[in-house]
Amino acid sequence: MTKENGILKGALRKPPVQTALFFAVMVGLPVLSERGLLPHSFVYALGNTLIYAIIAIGFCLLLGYAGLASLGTAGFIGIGAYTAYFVMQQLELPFIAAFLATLLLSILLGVVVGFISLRIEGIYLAIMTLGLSETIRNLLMALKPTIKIELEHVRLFGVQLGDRGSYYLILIVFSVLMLLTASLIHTPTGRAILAMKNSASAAQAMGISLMKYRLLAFVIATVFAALGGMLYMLHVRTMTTATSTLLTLTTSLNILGAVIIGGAKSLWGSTFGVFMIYGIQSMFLSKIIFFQKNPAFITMITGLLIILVVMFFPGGFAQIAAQLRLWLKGRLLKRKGGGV
Amino acid sequence: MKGNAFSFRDEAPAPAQNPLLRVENLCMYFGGVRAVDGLSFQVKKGEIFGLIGPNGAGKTTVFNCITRFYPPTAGQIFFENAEGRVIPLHREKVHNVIRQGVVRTFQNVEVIREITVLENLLVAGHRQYRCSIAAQALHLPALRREEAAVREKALAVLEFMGLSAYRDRYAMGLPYGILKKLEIARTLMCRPRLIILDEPAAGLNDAETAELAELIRRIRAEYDCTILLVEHDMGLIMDICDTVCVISFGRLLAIGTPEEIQRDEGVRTAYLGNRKSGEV
Repeated sequence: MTKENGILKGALRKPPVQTALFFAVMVGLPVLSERGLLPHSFVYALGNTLIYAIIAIGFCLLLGYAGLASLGTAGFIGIGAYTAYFVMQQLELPFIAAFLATLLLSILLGVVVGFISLRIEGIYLAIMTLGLSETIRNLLMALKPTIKIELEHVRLFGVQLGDRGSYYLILIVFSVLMLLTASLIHTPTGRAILAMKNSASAAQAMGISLMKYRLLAFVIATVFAALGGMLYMLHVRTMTTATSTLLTLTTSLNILGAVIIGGAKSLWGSTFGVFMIYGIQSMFLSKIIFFQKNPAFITMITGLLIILVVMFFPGGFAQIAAQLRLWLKGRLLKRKGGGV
Repeated sequence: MKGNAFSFRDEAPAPAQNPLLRVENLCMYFGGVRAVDGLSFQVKKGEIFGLIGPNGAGKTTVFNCITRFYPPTAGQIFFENAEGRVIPLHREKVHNVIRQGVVRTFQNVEVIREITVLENLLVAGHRQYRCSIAAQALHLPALRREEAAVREKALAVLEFMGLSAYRDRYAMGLPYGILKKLEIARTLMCRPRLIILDEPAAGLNDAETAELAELIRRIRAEYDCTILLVEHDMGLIMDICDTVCVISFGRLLAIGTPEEIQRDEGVRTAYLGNRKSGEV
């Protein structure tokens, strides 16, 4: 029995198994809402939350593994959102064109920021990326105050995507990116990125090019954020660039908060952090009349959570989970010992 | 095999015609500070070469120039690589120096604390992976093969260094002496030709220093490489070095065998000060 347990535990640690389990659970939720067991808005909010989760795992790699601080997330999201709007609504090109254009633009942007990160570090890099993000937001505002993709243009390989379709698309993109990122972490590339964060000198002496891996980390974070923006336009289909908080510092900080609350060095922890910050907010808190009347209190809860986690569990929820597991194991062993 | 390598060295101390490393007229200025000022020396193949000098003499700066962490203000550094070609090391990129077989440790132990001891060695084998990043993200079989090869090598190095017991321990929280050993172990992952040790004995007690001396000799014999070290522990320097080079204020003061250096009047003055001026 213990051997079976061991195999089971080993399998649970493998990224493909974890991702498949997550996918299996999430794929069933729209069916539940169809049966009337869950409200329709729940699945819609879940889609939004998963978009933030995509952005968060890219940011987790950047902050937790590469040790690079960025406050430019919102700007990168904006790039993806606008590209999707421009290609699909204005040019009326298919989804794949929007996808490739977003990919290309975000890679370019990631490379540029990556190069800058070779010169500027720490808090100055954060300020620089914040400036860049604001520039992008103002650019988008000047380009078009409201961007909207008509439902008939939201097509994937000729099939029109409804609410459920876009949810499934988001879930698939999340699962693929999660799987790739989680796998990459346990490879020479993942270790090189971590080495760079721990000691830039040691990494270089071991033959790791700071330029290559800093660019890579920024490109991954930027691409994930831009894809998040693109998916947002497919899911929500409209955005007021002038007033949307999605393009402001709030979003960048929320993503940062989610990653820190969840555990900066844990992809699943970061995903969990997103569910704490966005999920609870959109799926539960927004249903309570008190919070509807005082939306500022929702942000306060987020702030409070960050303070508590940073003070008592710098490793985030991932650390809490690990400690809980150890404690349970200890209890179990004790009980066994007592029984004999 | 290993015994042979030892005895071979004892019988014939390789009459090397070409030096392994040639530093010529090296200058490194930081603003007005002349940290290294027209320094030249040669390191012969297979020797243990000690670089000493009073605090602030510019020893670590010399190391940083050789390993390309600093771009020298002037001067050239030539290195004979594995193919026997003499290359201008001062034109290499900092992360490519290791490909020529030049590896180093740091004065303040620089290990990757968030990963295990074994993984630290895998990081040191970074340049032996050929897989593209895409192949890595997909965990293709090619990666698994390469990973197995590098891992096997890492296990052998751990065994050689006596670190096997710490294999799966996270580097964070390990004792200082173990981390210093880990840094040296890391240099052995890449077929080293020149190992540069920056104060390997700093912070070690007498017994550990004696062990280190033995270890450095064993590394030279086993890996057939040359060792260049900066050290303040004179006992260690005089014990293991074939050649000692003394620098002071960035300039060469003396170079020779440990015995010659011990007799040198200029070296004594540099370290202890001039007796006459001291009395005034």
